Amino acid sequence: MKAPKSSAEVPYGTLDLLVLRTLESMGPLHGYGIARRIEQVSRGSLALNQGTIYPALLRLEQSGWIASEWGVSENNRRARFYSITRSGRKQLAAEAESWARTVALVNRLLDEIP
Amino acid sequence: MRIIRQFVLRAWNVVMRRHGRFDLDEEIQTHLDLIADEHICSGMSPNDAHAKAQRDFGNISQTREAYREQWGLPLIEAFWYDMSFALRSLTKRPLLLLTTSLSIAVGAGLNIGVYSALTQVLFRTSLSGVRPDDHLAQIGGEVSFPNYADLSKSTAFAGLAAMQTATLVWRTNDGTSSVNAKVVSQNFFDVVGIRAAQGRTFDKDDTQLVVLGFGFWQRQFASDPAVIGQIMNLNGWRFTIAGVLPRDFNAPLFPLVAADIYVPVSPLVCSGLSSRAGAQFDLIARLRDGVSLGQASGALRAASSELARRFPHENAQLDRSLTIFPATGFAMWRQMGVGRAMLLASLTLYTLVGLILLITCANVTGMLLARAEERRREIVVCAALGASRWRQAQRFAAESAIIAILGCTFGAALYAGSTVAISRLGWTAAELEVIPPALPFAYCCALVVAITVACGAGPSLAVSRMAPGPALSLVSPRASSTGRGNLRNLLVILQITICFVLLSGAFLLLRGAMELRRVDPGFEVERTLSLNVRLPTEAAATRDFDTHAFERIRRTVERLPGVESVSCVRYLPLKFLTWRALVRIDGLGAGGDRAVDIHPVGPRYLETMRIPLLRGRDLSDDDTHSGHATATPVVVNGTLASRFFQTSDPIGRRLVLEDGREQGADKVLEVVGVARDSKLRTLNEDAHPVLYLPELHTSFVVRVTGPATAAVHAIEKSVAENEPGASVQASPMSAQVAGAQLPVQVGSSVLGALGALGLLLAMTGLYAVITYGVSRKTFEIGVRMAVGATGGDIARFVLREPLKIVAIGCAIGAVAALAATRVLAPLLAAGQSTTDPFALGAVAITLAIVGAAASLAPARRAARVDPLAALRQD
Repeated sequence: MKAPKSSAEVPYGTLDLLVLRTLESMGPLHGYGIARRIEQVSRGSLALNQGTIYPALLRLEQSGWIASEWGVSENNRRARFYSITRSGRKQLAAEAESWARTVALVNRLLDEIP
Repeated sequence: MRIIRQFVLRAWNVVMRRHGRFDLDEEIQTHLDLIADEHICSGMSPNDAHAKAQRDFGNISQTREAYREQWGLPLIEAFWYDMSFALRSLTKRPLLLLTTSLSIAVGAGLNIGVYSALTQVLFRTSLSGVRPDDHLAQIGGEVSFPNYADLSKSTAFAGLAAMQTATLVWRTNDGTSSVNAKVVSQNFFDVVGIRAAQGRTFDKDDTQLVVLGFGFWQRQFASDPAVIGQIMNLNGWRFTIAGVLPRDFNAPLFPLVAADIYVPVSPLVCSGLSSRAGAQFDLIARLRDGVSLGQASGALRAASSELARRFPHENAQLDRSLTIFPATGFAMWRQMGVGRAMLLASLTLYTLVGLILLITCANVTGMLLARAEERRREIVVCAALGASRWRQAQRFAAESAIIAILGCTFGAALYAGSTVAISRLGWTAAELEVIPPALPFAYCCALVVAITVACGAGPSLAVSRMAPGPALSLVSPRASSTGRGNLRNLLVILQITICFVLLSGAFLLLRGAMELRRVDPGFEVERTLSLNVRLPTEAAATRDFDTHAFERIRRTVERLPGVESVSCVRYLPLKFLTWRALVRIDGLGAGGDRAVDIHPVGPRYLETMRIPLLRGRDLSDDDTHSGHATATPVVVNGTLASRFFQTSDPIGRRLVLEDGREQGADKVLEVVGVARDSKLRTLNEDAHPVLYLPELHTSFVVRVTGPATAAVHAIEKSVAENEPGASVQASPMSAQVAGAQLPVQVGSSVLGALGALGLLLAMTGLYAVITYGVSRKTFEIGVRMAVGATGGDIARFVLREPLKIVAIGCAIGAVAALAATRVLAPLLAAGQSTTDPFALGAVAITLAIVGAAASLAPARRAARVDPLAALRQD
């Protein structure tokens, strides 16, 4: 089952932002929950290879932006729950701002093209 | 901050060998189950749901891989893994590890030594101990003491110090010895900015104090801190030891030669202090803050022209002769006009040791290449299993890194050991302080990296090219004689050539040394001794005093039991010293070779030294008295007699000794005797005309009845008792003869050591070439054995190339040696030819034997190849 042509890969460097934002709005989630949530929000326009979020989660945890602990999922499966930390929130704010700036810049450039 | 935190966490995982794998596996499993649960809820069969879950998740092993890389530090982990693997696999071949790391050690040790000596000489000379100091300036041109006193009043200088080098005689209860002293103004240490490590330096009015150099204190006083306050008898005066200088202090001005001791300027240790004309002091200045070198130079010029104006007679050229320049580092060398030469010499030396290191690296590369070839199977299998080329190359680079680290460690140890050994040698005359105490660690690290690259690049490249061929064919490309192989052979030939030249030079000098031992110096050696007496007064310089003292001391010595004859001499024979002058026959014009050695000696010198008279008489007491009405009586040697007078009788003939400076000062001489030739400057000199001129001196030669060594002490003691304040030194004549043999001995051992080094390098090179050849030719050897070749045949087959290399190297080496060893001619014994077929043959045989020894192990390995295994495998 191939992903539809219209759905893009996750833009490089934005997975961290997506994960942090998801955890901020949804509270503690396990890996599957995060992946599901990102897919839902993107409404199928993003082809997320779900496995790729695990190295990303590890990287975020090593950076101190998220924390994790083992817990039990809604259907009684042992799962690892990730939650955003205080420095994670700060990082999210900074990254969101820089992302907005980048988008604005690119938009301006695109608008200028006749 | 974040990066550091990440690094620490990841490094922690590596160090603790924690693996996140099990946690991850559980997480992935939960993930898959959760997806499947959802699909089952939406009505899928459990089997389909699980399959769909796998597809949704994506590549699990890729996730694991990415997770693992994020978990630890893969690069560093791989590095550690490679290093430990390389170490383990190298220790399985101890011989290889030993040869490679030892040859690297030699190259690296030389490199480290030369590097640290050069940086010391070029950039740190005179800074050591003296902190790098922009305020210190050296003044070029010597000045007299009164001029120094006036110049030091100049306001440009915060301080101006004077110093001169002197040899003082130190008397102890056991006898006397000479020490290298610096006579310095009392403010010297303040100007230079040095404090004593123990005790103190000089105060304003100190005279009879002495400060010891660290090396001298270590050697002579066994680093005893209690020496401070003790008395040293110097030049017959009592000096109190005030302090000891720091270890690394070298006095500026003649910075390479460390003085044994420092004494304050006073009439006790130097003469002519009151004379304004006698320029004898070097000056060093400390500039005032904010005064530039240019300003100081102006001030110095002003002060010196003022002095020239006030004392026009004594200071005629003073203002033009003085210059001022930095007293430290390379700027100093440049100012002394030798900057370019020093740099060039250093570069040459450095290039030379760099080349040696490069050769050792080439040899090690050869061995590692052979090793890579041996392990082709393993490498190809790894490549087939997915190891990247880069990863494989890295694995081999680790081996060269291990060898480089071991080699440099050995090299550094070698260097450190040799500096200790050299400092133990203890040159009492002049302690050369070019060897810095500390090892340049950063340089060693850089060297390790450079050697790793130099040795590892070739093998790593070769390994990365070994791709798994179709169907894992393990056949190595046939050992076609590649350009690189030829280059390596050429390199080994070059090494053997150089080695040949060095060894034949060493051999020649060794034979020369043996010849010299048999040379008859032409005078009595066993029963004569020299006796040098220095009297403690300025008046010692005047001639009348000499005559007087000579008579007195001669009487003292003559009265001693066992003394047969006493005379004196200005230059002891075999000291490389003479006075050369031109002589012509009185009444005849100048023409031909008229250079003769003038040998000023006392009465009965020939008799004392047992130099046989061929005609006429020896010099007598009457001859030495000045005021000869007509001509000074002289004795000539046989060569002079035959050169100037051919067959006619020289007795009674007149010669004229020309004074090079003035026309009218020529001296008329009358020949009263002819002595047989004896060696004067060196043991290997050719016969040269010598003229014995009568002169009195307080440097004696004494002949005794027994062996001279036994009489030395008694004579020294009795003269010292009779001449209070004088310093007395006696030594047997055999010491002179031994000293004359020193250059040849040193030369042969230096060349021999270099030759041995070259031999080691050449042999590792040869070994590498053969090993590589054998590993490339395993298949061919297998075929040959399969069709009936014996082990001996194979050994011959394998040895053909190395023997060719040795033969070519020896042939070129022999030709080069014939040309190069000519420079050794002055060191060889008279009559010894530099073309010595015996030496060449011996060296060739040595090389052949060592070459065969180097080839033995690989040849035996080749002969033991199992043909079945070789054919199956290759």
